[in-house]
Amino acid sequence: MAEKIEIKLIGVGGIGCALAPFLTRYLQAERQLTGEEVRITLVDGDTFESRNAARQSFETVGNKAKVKATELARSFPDLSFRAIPEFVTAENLPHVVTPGDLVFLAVDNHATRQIVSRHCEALSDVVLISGGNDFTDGNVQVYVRRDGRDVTLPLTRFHPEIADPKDKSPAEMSCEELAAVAAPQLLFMNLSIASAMLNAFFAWRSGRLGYGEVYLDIVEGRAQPVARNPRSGENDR
Amino acid sequence: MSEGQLKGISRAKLAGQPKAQQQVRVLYGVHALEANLAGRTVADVRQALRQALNISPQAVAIVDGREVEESTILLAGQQLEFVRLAGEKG
Repeated sequence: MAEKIEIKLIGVGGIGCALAPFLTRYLQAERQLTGEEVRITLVDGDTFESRNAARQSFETVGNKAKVKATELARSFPDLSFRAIPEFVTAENLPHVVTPGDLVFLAVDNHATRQIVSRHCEALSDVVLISGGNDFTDGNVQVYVRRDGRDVTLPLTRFHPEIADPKDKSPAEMSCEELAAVAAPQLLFMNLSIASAMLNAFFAWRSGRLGYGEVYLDIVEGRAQPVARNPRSGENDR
Repeated sequence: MSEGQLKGISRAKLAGQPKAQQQVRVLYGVHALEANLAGRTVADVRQALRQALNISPQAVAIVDGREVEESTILLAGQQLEFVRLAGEKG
């Protein structure tokens, strides 16, 4: 019997826009081979504006999750798409991310990474692939839980900036604050992180994921994967 | 990064041990190096590499996957990672 795969893409900004078309193209081709049922939910409370166009591709102005889900549904009719036009919060996360999900987290703040990671820690089975970048470098973290145990470490482990974030989730910010935090970003860096997230997805899906975090620097031309495995006893917390 | 850039830290030797037996692997973000650091503390290595690699004071130190104190003495064959802060934007 064909399996069902439930994917959540949280954040449809620079990384999410780069990731979505390649993920969906791959999944549509896989579906044609395996019959696997795929549903992709895009989650973002932000609105696309023309000033975002340097790094983000949307056909029309409007809520990013809705506009992108509509575009993708037109291009990939074999897949099922849904949009949640909200920022994730501790309150709505239980409805957004559920056991068995594969989550691509492509947000622009550690506060959201923290709440999503904490939520996933309470689920029995989940795969969370999170990417973030600065101007020319960044990282991807892969948190896998299976049968109620950590296979790799949550985003917050060894990352105090995520465990105790100094920034705010966009759901907590005023329009003025949202405008003020817009830092310059490089499209190519977004693309590198999106690509690394998809690489991690493929490695996990093919049973060959050998790392829990990978760092990238496009000026240095380097990538460095590192293991993030729980130590003996860490699963008993 | 060459060993010469380690500001003398690679010259630290344990008496009577050949170089190859004193190697510690150090990671920070995309950077990886091996140097003769056995017998040095995590704090020594952080101080020596802080400027060259721009290591954040917030970066957690882990040895062979376990978070350690700055006073931890490194052993030959271990891997020390200063965990680079995650990228924030997207």
